[in-house]
Amino acid sequence: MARYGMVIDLRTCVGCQACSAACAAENQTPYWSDKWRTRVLDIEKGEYPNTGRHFVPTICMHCEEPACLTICPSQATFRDEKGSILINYDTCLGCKACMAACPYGARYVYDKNDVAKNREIHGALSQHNAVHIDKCTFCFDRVERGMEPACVATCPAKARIFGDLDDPNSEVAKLVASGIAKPLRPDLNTKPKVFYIY
Amino acid sequence: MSVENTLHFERQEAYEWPLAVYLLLGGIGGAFISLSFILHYLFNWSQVGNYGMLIGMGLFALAGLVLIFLDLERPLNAIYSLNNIKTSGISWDVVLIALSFGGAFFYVLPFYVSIPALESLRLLFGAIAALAGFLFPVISGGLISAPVSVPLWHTPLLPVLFLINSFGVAFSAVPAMFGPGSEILAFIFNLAVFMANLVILGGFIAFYEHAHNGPVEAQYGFHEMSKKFNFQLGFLVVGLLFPLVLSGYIFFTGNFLSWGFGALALAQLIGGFALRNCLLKHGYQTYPWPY
Repeated sequence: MARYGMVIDLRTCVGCQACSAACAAENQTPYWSDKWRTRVLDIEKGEYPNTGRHFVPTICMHCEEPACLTICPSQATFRDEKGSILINYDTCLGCKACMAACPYGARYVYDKNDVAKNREIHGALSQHNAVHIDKCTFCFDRVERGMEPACVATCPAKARIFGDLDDPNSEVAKLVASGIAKPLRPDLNTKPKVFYIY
Repeated sequence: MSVENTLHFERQEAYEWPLAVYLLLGGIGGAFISLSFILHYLFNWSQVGNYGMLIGMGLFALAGLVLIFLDLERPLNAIYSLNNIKTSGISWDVVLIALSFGGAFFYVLPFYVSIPALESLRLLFGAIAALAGFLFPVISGGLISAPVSVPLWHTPLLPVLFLINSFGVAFSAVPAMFGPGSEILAFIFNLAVFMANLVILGGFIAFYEHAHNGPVEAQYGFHEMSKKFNFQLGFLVVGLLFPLVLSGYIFFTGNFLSWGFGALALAQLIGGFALRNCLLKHGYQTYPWPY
């Protein structure tokens, strides 16, 4: 069984936000409320003349020890057989404990205004028909059909690499094994499956 | 640029004032039930055993309603809240409220209806209610403090502070409501509660200010919180200083003012809300972006 993970190369990300747009189109995320499953932070650092501008794509880390999963009272947050952390919209209470627990800020409330607006836009094709807490799913439905997640497929700089962490021949596994790609804040012991090259 | 506008500190948006109200009412409800059981059992104060338990049950019911209808995005899905009693703090909260409320109900019932079969189990029901009531502020504090994501909350002192504060209100409220006979005991408890409050606050300050490898993120939240008027007036002045001065007056003059314990209870109630609300408001998540 595959164990999916992602590597994000901050050296090549150009901050074009194509990933955010592709994700919003694929997953009907409420961009009208400025809520995203993946977004690219634009960070300016330093004082003139030693300044720098950095783009940092953020996304759910699909942790192996996720704080959001243990705290969820209804088990609406669950792990699928490929290790991705998903949400059962039907049983989500909307208690927001997972939002508070996530150290990576990956979750947001898909509130009733967002549900109504989404229904207005997508009609019968709406994927979000009830209020719930929302986050990245690694586009599991696309992956099941042999495709890459929307953000990976659309990235013009190939800054996102997706694959099986258990397959030693996959690019993600090689980058992680080499130590080039590193998790963020490993000291939090959440064991993220998204790694960064920076 | 203020720290709020940088990427490393973002105020958490999950918990707002309804959760502060829930933590406060639930904590005090639990403390009322625990204290009422103990006072009834030890001193045979049946009035406290009866009405104190009822007040605790009412506070628990109110806390539950606040959580369900003001905090949850999908109130009807509260029926799924027991799906994860293995690891979820919220599930444990629900279990404790149910145990404490149910135990208190069967403890109080014989005051009104004679049920011989219940008499032999009454003590057990009361003990369960008291234990669950005692644990509620601890576990609900743990719900907030367990995740590593908000460093200001991530300390074992938080559940203890909630526990002490909840019992502080109950210790003051019981003699205020049920009149003479309990003042001296309540007064001693009150002083103990103040001392414990001060010790824990000292612990907080020591943890945030002087810990090696100091959690700067927690320190930031603590500094921001301590600068706010709501915290200074609500918790420090009304919730802590005023009760301390009033207790000091009672101690040195021996004059148990007729309004004294009512004022103490109200002040600690306001202080308790200010504390919880300010803590929630100043919970900053510190995202670990590499730049």
